[in-house]
Amino acid sequence: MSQSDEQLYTFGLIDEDAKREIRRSLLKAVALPGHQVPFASRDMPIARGWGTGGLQITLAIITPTDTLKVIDQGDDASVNAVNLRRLITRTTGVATTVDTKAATLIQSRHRIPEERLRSDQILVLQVPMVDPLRWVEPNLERATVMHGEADYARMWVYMYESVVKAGDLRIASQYPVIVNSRYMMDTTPIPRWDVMRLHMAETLFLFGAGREKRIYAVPPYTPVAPLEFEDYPFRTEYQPGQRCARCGAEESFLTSHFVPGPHGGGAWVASCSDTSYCDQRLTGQG
Amino acid sequence: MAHPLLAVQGLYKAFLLHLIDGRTISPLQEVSFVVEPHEHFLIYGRSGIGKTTILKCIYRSYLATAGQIWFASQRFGRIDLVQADESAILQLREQEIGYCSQFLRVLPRVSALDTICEPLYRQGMARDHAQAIGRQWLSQLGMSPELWQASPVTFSGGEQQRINLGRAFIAAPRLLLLDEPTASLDGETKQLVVEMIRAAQARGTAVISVSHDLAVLGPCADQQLALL
Amino acid sequence: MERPTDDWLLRVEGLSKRYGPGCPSCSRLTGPEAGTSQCPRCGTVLACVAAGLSLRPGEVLGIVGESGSGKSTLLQMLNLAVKPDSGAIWYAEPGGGTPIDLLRLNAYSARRFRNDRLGIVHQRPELGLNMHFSVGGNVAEKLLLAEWRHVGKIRARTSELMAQTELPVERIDDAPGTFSGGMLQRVQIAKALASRPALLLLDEVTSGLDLSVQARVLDLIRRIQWEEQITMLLVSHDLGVIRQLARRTIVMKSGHIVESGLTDQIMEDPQHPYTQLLVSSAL
Repeated sequence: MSQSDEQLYTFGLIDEDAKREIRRSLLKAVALPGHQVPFASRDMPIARGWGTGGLQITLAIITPTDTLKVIDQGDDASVNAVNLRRLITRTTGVATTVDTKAATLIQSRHRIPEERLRSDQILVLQVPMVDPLRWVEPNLERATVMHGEADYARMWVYMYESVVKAGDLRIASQYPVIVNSRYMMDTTPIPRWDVMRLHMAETLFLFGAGREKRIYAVPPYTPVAPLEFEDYPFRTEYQPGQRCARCGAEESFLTSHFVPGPHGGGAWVASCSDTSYCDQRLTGQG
Repeated sequence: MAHPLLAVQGLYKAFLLHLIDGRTISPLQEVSFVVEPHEHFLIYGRSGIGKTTILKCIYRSYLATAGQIWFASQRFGRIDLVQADESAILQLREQEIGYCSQFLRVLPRVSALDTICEPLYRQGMARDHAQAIGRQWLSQLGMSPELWQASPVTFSGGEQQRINLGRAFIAAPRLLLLDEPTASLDGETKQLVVEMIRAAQARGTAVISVSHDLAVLGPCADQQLALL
Repeated sequence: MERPTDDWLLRVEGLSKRYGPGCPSCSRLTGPEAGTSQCPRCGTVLACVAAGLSLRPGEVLGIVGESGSGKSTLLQMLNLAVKPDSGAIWYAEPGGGTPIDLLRLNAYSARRFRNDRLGIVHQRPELGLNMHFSVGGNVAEKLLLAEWRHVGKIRARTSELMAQTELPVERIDDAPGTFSGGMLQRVQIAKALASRPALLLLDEVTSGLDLSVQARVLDLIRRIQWEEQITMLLVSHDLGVIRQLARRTIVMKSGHIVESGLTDQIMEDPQHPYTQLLVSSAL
């Protein structure tokens, strides 16, 4: 890319007015943890539903000195992560890394990295569907009133029915939580595994939904409580005896891949979803 | 000087019938009388003369058009039943004033025992205790035990009237209003009514009865008021 | 502002609700004499005009009137679901406490109050129940709102309520759509009772039911009133229903309370022309 091409864009692609609007929404979101703040959600050079919400937040807050990490399902090398990373670096010129510890700004879909995040880091999450109440109240206007009045009884009935029908809280991802004892928030499609990482964390978590035009946040040291019952407590996906086939980790979130055998057939193999974590364990740096 | 239990002064009742061209009918001319505690006060006269109207005005099923009805209440002191507020009247009905209408009007599906015990339940008496008293009354009234769990709706007129009277007497109110208590009863049961009135008086109840049956109730009345 | 309680649970003063812009002629052209609650000049509906009433703890008050008389509007205002234009609803917690004007509660507190202290049974079950949840879930909603967080205990209490309202407990997880009309009224009653409310609002609960089913639902309500000594406000167009349950009755017509009194007095010595018509029209 030549010098003249880059001049076609402002730093971070989107114009300064749009950034300012997003930053204002972010400030409001931080001030009201878990509350969904509307924002304009500009058109981006990628399709809505492919991470435009997270991308806009990243571009609104990124600075030239940031070190960026982009992951998708914990993977730094997936197509979506690579595309987003390329777009951000080309329009900002910031350094990138796959090392969670080295990153100052992390954009992610579906996961919070295994390594404990620090107070000098920000995690931006791409959100597909915003409102946890959509399961029980499809009408957005009414759902907004319910949030306003902290009227979450119906969601609790939904959880009750989940226990009654499945014998357990069978919600794999998008697990509803109460943030700061006030707003009910969807945890985006992060697995239950990562939900408690939001609780009293040192890091600022920002959530952006481009399609639904909403921003929300969990600031550092904010209590985050999953919906649970005394006799059916919240549980992660942890299975005793699980381990990563690559690095042998027993305390990480695993995904399974189908590995074809050399002579046809094959087998499902479980490995760490967080590839950088896995790689670092393998090379002995972790 | 102690007040009488009940002092009716210049009681008058007229009905304004809006549906019949706003016509006014007045079944009752001005009436005044005094009832002392423990007394049996008999009001007699031909039908349509307004005997029942007096009872209903005292019980507040009718709103008196003019006059006062002073009642010496245990709970409220001297109170004008014409002007008293509704909640006071409801409390008086529960605790101090009983009314026995000419015909038993009960809900189907409620047993004779529960029907007769209802005033006791209302006074807050425990169910078991109330039903023990209720059974005593039922046998005293000559009701055979197989009928106790049945609904009075299925009973004969005489049986119904016995339940009706039992219900009124069981609560031992300070003032009991009886509307034609001996109508539709055989001679033996009429005597039973007279005995019940006497027993109630002995327990401290004043009774106002309304009847055209002077032969039976006349002898046991302390005072009589003839409406002509 | 403090009010003397004089042993009441609820005291309603000057409660009014109108739908429409209103005009200077509204109050002259509407009301019982005009025979309508809608102003012929501006189309405004004066659904409820300066309604006042009081309820003693444990009593059943009937509200009778034809459709459009404003009785349901009054009930919905007491349910804090419709916001009155003016007036006050004083509530005094039984056993003392400073009376509060429910209309001054913020939305959050009002909803909380509605859940904890009020129960309502609607004529149409789908207004009171979420047809997508199970019957047990519907009853549990009130418990969950009251912060019950133990599924076992919730189910135990729900079963207890179902048994109390004569519902088959083994059908706790069935959808309301599979229940009959009379059973759905029982489910609504079970739900209403879940929080042990101070006041139960009943809106035409037996209208539209078969006569035999009607009788059983009324028996149930009477039994519960008896057992729990619960204060009830019973709205019906049917004097027969009112007479069975209520000892005091309010008669409404064209948005106004035209008469109130002891139920037997209303039945035997009605004063207002409309009440006389109503009583004479009873089957």
